[in-house]
Amino acid sequence: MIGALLLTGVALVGAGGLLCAARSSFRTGLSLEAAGAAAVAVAGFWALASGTSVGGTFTNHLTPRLGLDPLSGLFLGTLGLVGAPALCFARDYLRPTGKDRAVGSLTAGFLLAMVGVLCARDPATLLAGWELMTLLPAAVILVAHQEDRHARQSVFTYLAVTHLGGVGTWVAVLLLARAGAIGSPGVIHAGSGLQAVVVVAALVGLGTKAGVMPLHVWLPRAHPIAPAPVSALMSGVMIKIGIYLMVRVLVDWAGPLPVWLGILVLATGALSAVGGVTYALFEHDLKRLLAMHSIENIGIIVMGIGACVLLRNRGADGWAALALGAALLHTVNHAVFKSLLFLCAGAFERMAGRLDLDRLGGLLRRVPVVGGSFLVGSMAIAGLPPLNGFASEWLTLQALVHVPRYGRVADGLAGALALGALAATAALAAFCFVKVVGLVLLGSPRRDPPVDARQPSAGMAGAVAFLALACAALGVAPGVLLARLVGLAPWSAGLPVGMGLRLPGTGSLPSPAIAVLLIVLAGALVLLRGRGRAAAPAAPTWACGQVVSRRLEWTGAGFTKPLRLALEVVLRPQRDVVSRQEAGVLQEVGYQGQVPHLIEERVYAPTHRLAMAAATRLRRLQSGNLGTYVGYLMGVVLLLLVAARLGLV
Amino acid sequence: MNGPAVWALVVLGLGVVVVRRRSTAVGLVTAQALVLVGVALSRARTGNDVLAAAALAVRAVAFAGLLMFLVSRTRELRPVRAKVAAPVRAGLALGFALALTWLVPISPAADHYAHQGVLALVAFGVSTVATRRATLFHVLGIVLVENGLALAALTLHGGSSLEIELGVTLDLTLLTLVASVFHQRIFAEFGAGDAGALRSLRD
Repeated sequence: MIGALLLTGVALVGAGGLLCAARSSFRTGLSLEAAGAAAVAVAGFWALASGTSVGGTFTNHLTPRLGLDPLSGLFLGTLGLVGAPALCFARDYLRPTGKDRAVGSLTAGFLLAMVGVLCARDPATLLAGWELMTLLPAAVILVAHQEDRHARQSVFTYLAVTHLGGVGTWVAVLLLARAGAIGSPGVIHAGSGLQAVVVVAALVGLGTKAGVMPLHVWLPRAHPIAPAPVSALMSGVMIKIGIYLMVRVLVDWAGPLPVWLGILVLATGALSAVGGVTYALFEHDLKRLLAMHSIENIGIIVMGIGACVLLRNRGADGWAALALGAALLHTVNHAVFKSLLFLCAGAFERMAGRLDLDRLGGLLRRVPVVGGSFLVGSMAIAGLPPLNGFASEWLTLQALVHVPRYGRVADGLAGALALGALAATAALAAFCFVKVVGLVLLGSPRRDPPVDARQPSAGMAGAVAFLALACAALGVAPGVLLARLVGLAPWSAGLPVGMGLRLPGTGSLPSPAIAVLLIVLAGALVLLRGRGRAAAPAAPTWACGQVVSRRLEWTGAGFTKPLRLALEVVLRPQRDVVSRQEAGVLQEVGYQGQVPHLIEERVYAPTHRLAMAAATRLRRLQSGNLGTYVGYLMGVVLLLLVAARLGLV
Repeated sequence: MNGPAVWALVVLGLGVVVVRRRSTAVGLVTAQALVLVGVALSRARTGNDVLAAAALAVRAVAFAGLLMFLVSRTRELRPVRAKVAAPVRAGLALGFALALTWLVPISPAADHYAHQGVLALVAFGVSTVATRRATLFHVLGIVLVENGLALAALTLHGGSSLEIELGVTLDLTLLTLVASVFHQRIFAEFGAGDAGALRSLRD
């Protein structure tokens, strides 16, 4: 039944993609894609809930084989949970123009490629799906921005970085297949060189796709320029496929890992979490800001995986399973709230024309459903109770607390530092989304809407409202999902199902009670506010005698200035003040500021320069003369023959 | 294998490397193919062998006709000069041929003479492409390599067959036609069948 449902879902997505190509059936096509995604979600979550496997098992041979197990089910369920509302949103967001029809069809291909990776049971299908999953969103972006040179450059960077990093995925998967370890944990010896190479290669390859720092540079470029539903799928699902394979390799196939590898994973996660949120704070574009937050949240997930590896190494199997459960729960949660935020950003873009934070404002009053959903998503990503982000971050925090408890000096110290990093990340995320909510939703609009501004349709509002409800449901009853997620650890039997989070030997999280308490408190505050309004009539704003205008409102740069000054030594912000004078009288002062990304400046830029210099030198070999090329061939043949003669090959 | 025949093939091949005029080179390649026909006929034991030799002869004549047609269609005021002088070309080709005969291992069952002849023809063909700028010489270099492979086929146990010869003929015809079209296009564009002119297209 699960298999039939999954196949139906896949067929619907495929058929929808084909229908999208025609103008008359464009919206029907997207509806079919959404229905297919919903069927995939049901099949996936069903496999997770029942703990059943369908189809083939993992093989190390290159014969194509497909199947489904509970872990694949979780990610397929997440794909459908995000994909269905994103495609419903796309029905009204995209128009049946040639460009958008191509986007609709390619999106179906993109979904199917992701399903292919999740259902692959052999190295060939896995790697083929992996490459398709990389190429199809690039095609979507290129189609959507055909004449935009900046977009083409961003796509080039995306393809270059993901393919260079993707070598790690190929190395890891092929080495695992050669060792016969795909689907067979315990084949690779713990602490062996092969294990280290596989894990490091996987961390590079899969980490690049997941957007882990310092391999993240493609992410803030590619995600923001994709159409909103595709951004939601990229940030909500595609980068999670990297996490799916990371869990397969690091937690299962490669066997128990040594402490140093666990520390490496933990450190990578901590760097991504803190780095992602820090740079997000200083972004001025909403979609870029959200993309930076994807890096932060991937960091939190990777920290959970790192904690799992370390705790398992120290024999704390129960807590290792909980750490894995925390990582997987945050994976689902991030998929839901990030896709919600990207879809809302898409709706705002259609209304305001641009997503420059300092040009938005007052959207909560203008579009209450979408604005309210955005508020829910912002609270979830900021880790505020009673929403889903809080539950999984709290659980990750609990897992990290136990790393020093069970570990020795090195892993204990790493665990403690990671704990601090997670706390700092949570605080900075809350700070960042106070800024975002204040600038985007509150106040008054700071620019007139463009002439082609479009109000979000009921379909678009319904899609984001559904995801907002999912954030709330996952926040109020995280225990329902967590019980199954903990059971996904190969050594764990799972937890008893409950609404809240009940942890052994530590405080539990009664999330339904917290939700009720907060709702009561919020209700009381609303009542109090209602009374206060009657007592104190509104008064005009005092602005030191100036005329109150839109230009006096908060800006993102102004809000984050204290933090920017505090972190000046590390971040090295750049500012440029330009003044214009006429007849000695100051007429205008312009201010431009930015916080450069240090990893890009200090690592990628010099590497790029070196690579270009080397390419220029190597280009001398490319003479354009046919004779020279044949000469190269002759040389290679002779060299190979000499090597064969000497017994070297 | 008949020693003088192999020597004749090698000398004719070396001639293609050094001669200046395209029509002379076409004549040399055709002569080489006709020598191969002679070898094939001398080794023919069955009717099929004779048919294979006949196919080889038809191919030789047809290619001679096609290549001479090309020469006549693309008359040049002066032959395109190779950058490398004829003695140097000959030296390079001979050096490459000697290196190959030293490096490529020989099966004990193989005909020693013929094996070395095949390697020499392959080396001369590749050297012709590498050292000549005239595009027609590139086509001739490929035909030279093919003649070497035809010699290798004749030395096989059981010799060549009509099917093999027809297949090779089809293959070589397609290749030569494509190369001829390129040659004509280059001639039309640059006024000479000079591969050196293609350097300007590099960027």
